Amino acid sequence: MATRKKVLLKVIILGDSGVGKTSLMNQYVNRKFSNQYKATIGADFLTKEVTVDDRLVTMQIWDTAGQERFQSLGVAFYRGADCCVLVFDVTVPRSFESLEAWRDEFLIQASPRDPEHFPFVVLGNKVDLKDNRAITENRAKSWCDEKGNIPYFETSAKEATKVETAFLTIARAALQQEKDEDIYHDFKDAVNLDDVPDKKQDGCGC
Amino acid sequence: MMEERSSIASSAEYQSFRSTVPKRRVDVDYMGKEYTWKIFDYGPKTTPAPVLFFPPVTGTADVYFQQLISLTGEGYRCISMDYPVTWSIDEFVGVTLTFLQQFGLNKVHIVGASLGAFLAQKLAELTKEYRLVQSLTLINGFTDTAAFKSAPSALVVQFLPGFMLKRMLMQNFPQGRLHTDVANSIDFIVEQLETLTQPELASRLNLNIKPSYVDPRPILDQHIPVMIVEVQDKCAISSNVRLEMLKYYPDARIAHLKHGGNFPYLAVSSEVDMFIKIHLRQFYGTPASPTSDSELNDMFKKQASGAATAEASDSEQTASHAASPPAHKQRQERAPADAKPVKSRGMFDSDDDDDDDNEDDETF
Repeated sequence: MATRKKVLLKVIILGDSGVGKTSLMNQYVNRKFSNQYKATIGADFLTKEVTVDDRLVTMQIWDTAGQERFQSLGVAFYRGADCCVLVFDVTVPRSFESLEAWRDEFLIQASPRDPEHFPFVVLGNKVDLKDNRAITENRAKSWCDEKGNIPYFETSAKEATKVETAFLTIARAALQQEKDEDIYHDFKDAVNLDDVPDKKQDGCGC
Repeated sequence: MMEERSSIASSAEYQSFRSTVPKRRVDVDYMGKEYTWKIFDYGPKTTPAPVLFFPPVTGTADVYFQQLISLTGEGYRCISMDYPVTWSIDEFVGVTLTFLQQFGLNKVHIVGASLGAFLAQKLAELTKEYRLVQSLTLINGFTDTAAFKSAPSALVVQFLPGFMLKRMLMQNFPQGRLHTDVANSIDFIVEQLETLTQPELASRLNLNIKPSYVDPRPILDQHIPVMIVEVQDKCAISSNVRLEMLKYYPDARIAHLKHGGNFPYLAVSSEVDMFIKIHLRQFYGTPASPTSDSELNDMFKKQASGAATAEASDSEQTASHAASPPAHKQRQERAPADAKPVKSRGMFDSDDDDDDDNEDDETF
């Protein structure tokens, strides 16, 4: 039960369509970037094993689509999330203004036990497009501070700027959240059938 | 038998499922012998490639009722089954092919758990020339019956009385602290186990422990997309067995579940449904589509044919809902259960063609 338990961190990426959610995930997991835009249909996930503070963890990163038709994945999609990443495009003001709505959407759907302290991370993506920049770093930061000191990173999925650093922060925040949840579940949501230590496996299957 | 029913069995979902979807008996004649399948066949019969559900040793077709409800809601046709009594992999594959031929099915997706995952792989491996199996979803599966080394010999199992077989199986269930939903799933499985007869159980256990293993090459040669569903909490599959499976399918999509125990399709069903949908979406709009929902199929066809058009329509849509994120609509389209069956295309004219392919199966 204690420390050697395998850890799965569920991370959900939200944000307007076209801000680069899939690209960020692909850059982080596969170290690949494609200029060709392809709308994500529904949701998809990638997994990556990473070491966070000497702990091997599996990150399951979920990428969502803007299209309403596929939001039917519903509650299961959000259930058990350990960290929510909000992404906007620094060249598109509207995508920044949507952050609030995405954050609310997440809190409603995932209904975390402790919404005040649930970890979010904000990424301002496409910083490589310097000439078209519309949202300043300060403006983004002050929004993040207002919402309870959300960590903020300026990324470029295209040039792999700060992607690794951002995801390390995401993983740390998720790991902390997962630990808290786990302790909670140990007390709350468990049925004690019989306190026998793990019996031999490989019996005859089931 | 049991008066007090488990919370899953007494749930409104299960009650309503059982009262709307009949469990049908299907008799299949194979090599002069009669075999009985008990199935739920749910969803539109016009679906190009239905999803077959193979239960674990202890389970019946019922264990997948939640997936059936959820997937048929997206236009899928699902066939969940109680296995007929068979005593070897070849016999199982032969009978299954005859069964599918009788239903006019030449393309299927399979979701299988534990023994069901093993049998799904064997079916895919031994039907290479038919290209029968389009995708595999393997839940707490294994690739070699040697996984169960401490089990009694297959020969002994055949002659043990039913109550002893049940006791043997129940010893595998985890003990200690469990999530409520995992505990509930075990209660339901125990009830289902009670409904299985001695020959049914002995046959399943025999298949489960008789020396046999999967040869992944024919599966990889057919480029069958594989998804491996793994739980992070305790289950009857050891970590070595899991690793072995991952080695078999290096390109598999791995769906990790934080918890779910031995029977995640019951314990955390909505997550399992979601993973199955995500895995099978790659077939939407293709001749092997698991859904008959034309809107869905068209959308994916468009996506495949040109990304540029998708971009335009997608950003438009987002603009309209971004400020107020979408309400989650629950789709409730149920296709009539009595839609016309597809005509048999006589794919499997020689039922036991797979015989020349078996380099695996030990015969006693």
